[in-house]
Amino acid sequence: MNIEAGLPDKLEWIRHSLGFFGPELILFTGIIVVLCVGIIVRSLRSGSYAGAPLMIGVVTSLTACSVSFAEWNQQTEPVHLFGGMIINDRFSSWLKIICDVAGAITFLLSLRQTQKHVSEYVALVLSVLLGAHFLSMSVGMVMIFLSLEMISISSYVLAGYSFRQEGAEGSLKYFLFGTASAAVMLYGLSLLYGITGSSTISSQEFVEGLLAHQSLLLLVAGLLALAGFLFKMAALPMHLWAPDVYQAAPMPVVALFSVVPKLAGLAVLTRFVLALTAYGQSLIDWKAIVGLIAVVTITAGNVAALRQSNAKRMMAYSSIAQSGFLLIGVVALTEQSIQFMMFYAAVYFVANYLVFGYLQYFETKGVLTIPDFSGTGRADPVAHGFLLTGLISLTGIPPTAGFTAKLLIFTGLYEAYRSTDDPFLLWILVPGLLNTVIALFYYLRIPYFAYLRDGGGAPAKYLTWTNFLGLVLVLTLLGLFFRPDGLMGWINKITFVL
Amino acid sequence: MPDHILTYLIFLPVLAAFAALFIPRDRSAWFRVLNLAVCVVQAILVIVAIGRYGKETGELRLIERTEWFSLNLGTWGNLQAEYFLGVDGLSLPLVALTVFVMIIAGISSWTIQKSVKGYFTLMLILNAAVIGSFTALDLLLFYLFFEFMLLPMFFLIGIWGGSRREYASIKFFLYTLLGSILILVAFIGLYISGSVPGDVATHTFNVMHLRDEGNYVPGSILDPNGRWLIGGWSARNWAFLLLFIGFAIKLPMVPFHTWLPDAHVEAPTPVSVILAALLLKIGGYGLLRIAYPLFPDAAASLSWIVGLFGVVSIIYGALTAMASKDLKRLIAYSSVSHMGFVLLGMASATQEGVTGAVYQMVSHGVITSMLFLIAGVLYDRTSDRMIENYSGLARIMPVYFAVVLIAFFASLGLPGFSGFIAEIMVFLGAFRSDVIHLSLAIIATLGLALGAAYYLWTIQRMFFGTLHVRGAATIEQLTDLDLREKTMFLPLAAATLILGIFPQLLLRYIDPFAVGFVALLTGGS
Repeated sequence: MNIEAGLPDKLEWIRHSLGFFGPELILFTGIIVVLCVGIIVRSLRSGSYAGAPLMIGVVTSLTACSVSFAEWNQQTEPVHLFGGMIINDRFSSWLKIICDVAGAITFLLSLRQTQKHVSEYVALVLSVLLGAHFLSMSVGMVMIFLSLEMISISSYVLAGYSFRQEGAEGSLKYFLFGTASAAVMLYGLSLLYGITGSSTISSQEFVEGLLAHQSLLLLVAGLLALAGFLFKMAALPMHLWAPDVYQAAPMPVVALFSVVPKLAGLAVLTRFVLALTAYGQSLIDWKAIVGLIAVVTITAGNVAALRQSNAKRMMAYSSIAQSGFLLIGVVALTEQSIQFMMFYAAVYFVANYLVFGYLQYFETKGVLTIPDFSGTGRADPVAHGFLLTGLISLTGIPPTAGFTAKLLIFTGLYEAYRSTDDPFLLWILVPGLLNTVIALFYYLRIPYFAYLRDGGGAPAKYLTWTNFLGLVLVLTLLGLFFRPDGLMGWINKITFVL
Repeated sequence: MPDHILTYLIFLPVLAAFAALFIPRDRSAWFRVLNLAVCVVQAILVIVAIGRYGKETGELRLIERTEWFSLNLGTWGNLQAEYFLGVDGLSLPLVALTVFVMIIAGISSWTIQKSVKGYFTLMLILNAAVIGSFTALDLLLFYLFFEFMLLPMFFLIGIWGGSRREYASIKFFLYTLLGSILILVAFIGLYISGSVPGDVATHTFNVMHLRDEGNYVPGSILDPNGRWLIGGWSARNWAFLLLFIGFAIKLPMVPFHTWLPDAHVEAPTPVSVILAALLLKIGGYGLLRIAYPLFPDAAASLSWIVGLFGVVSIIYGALTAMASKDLKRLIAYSSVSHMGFVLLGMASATQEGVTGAVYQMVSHGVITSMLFLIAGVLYDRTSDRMIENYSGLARIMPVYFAVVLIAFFASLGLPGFSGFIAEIMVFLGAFRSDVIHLSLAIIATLGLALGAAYYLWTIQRMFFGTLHVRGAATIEQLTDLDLREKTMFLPLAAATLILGIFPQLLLRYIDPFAVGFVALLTGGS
């Protein structure tokens, strides 16, 4: 749209754009409603309605999800909205669907822990979702920054939602790291704006500006901007906050952190890297830079995870390593590799929620560190069987979808190697796959203590809601291994353009 | 005519494992009977399968083939995975061996007291995975079964094993997973490069399609007609090497063998039996089914490495066995030594050598089952397996002594036993081969002498001389074999004798396979 357009045209444009904003408007309404309901519930002074805000959260996120689904069929072409600041396409819709489902399960997991300030909690989680929606669609620098901060600020508060001292400490750490990295990113973006003269990374102007200034300054500016996205993804070198925050935050929030901001950060990083490479014309090898980050992230995450004795901290490092695997889709940077990355993202989400759901289950039983799991395998075979499936899927061993996802994401890399004959890609492929062996070592530690070590533990009931939710997730993981074609058929419809 | 006998063989134990989950955990006897019943039904199915396999031409029979899934990969076309099962002269004997050993291991498992439910459930899953690995002809399906063996084995060693079981089980898992990752790298390259006949856009995991060099996409990494180089070396050589190391870890081959003694020493007797008799064979099977036929050109130039490491394994395994103080460790190292013959045989790329390699796999499966049961008999009675602690046992355990003599003589390759046939064929191949240098073959014969030495020395130390025991064991504990143990040893001893006296029973299946195998190799060079 032309900048000099008159006010009526601008208003018309905004009205038109709002038509593509269904899921976001629903989330926004949900936030308002849940805050109002919170006030009413509190004035009733009755504990029996404590679950109501959470149920509103479930309904809101699932509605937003189904609207995204409904839009799917009309999204044959990407739509630029709000003066080109936002792009609505199937790539973003897919991530929005995953994030919304993740949000709904987060609320379900939260039901188990009666908390203080429930309606505010729900509003904050919905804000994270809303921010993730925006971030996955953003191509304007201002919009990128705003939506990233929207996720961050809500996350800072959520990180301290255990209302304990360590929670406050984790929250503060997160805040300090977050603001610092946001400042760094902002500096990078401002340099890029200065270099190219455009604040929209998808615009022709931006790409031409980049090609005209292939300089050291551009390299620095790009790296600074990347730092902000890597922070959201918890990838090296911006990962340091993750273990402390994960350890201190309540389990449903940790599960949320491990999926929603990560995928939203991945979305904007993918768009950003594609813009930086200027459709392959850039002199600076951005793919190699991302490749290096990916390998270092996978290796460092895995190696650090080996030494953890706290289950949450271990999973924090695991989620760092998994960021690296997701980034491999960006390294190959073909339409297929991005589709495979979307498949990986969906599988990662399911497996991670399965694991965190059961970690929460054991946490409420007082099992916190990995040695605490000793002997619980025999007392509670169903829970441990399901947990094992989730861990196996994260490792990437058949018959779970985690294997299929790893197979596909490395296929993307292999194929990129074939088409470019760039030996650097092989140098990513081999350590990437070998990392699976390291990963196995720590992913197996919980089952190892649970089954191989002796210990107490009262026999558990089998027919519980946790196990029902677990069963659904387990069947999803197994089903996606034996019949990946259905989901892949959907993902195949994602066309990725900037 | 569609024939689902292989599917029944694989999924019967899976169904039984599922059923076992619903049996109350205190009914130990039910699980034992269930497991045995499954194995017996499988044995009947195998006999039927052998009948239906019919005339021995070495080709694939009892084929089951349907599409598993087809993934759309956008501009690269499709990825097709198939549910493709079948047996030929290589896999049919191994499937029969699997069922046979599973029955013996099932009976041997009756001594297990701890968490019987979990134990037999895992045994049943393992059973299905092993048979699946031997019959799958789609790389993805094979990989599924191959990996599916790891977790049950990890828990079987880790929960029911000896004092260092935790270390041993983790070590086993990590080594094997490392191997399977290397295999996976090669598999990804294979399916990206291969396609179904007549349709370059449909990529396939089908082993039979990938054998045909016409089915490779021109210009792909593993295209036999293209010369894709990685670090100055053909990509096909790299892929062969990856498969070789991956399967060699499983085999195991020196220097990748160090997981084996630990796993064996710690594993309970029936698990050791399955590990040595069946899981090791999957390493050899993988080389014969996948690495060699899919990369005949690379095999032609690299086979000497396989032979070299085969000989190293033979000698090193034998020397270490001789130095072992623990009877079970001695047997474990003898396995390393004997699996070296499998490598030497296939590396020779001659009909005799390949036949000998397959024969050795079957023969070793039978003999090593006896050997591990022998170690188990001693351990059950005294919880002590140190060779130096026993002397003169022949006087108080005559039946046991007889069994030990049969097993040891069979294992050291005495004529009349199956091991002799296998080793003589391997040497015939190795001496005739253009690939194996004559000196290597001569050094390998030293392995026979060493084998005789450590077995005879063990017999002399443990069974002859004055009767006495040292350490924690007492003479009163050393009772002779009971009925259950005799019923385990009898069929095994009979099998090694029958295979030693009537080799034609097995050769008529293996020979046609070996002919086809050698033709494939020489056609490709």
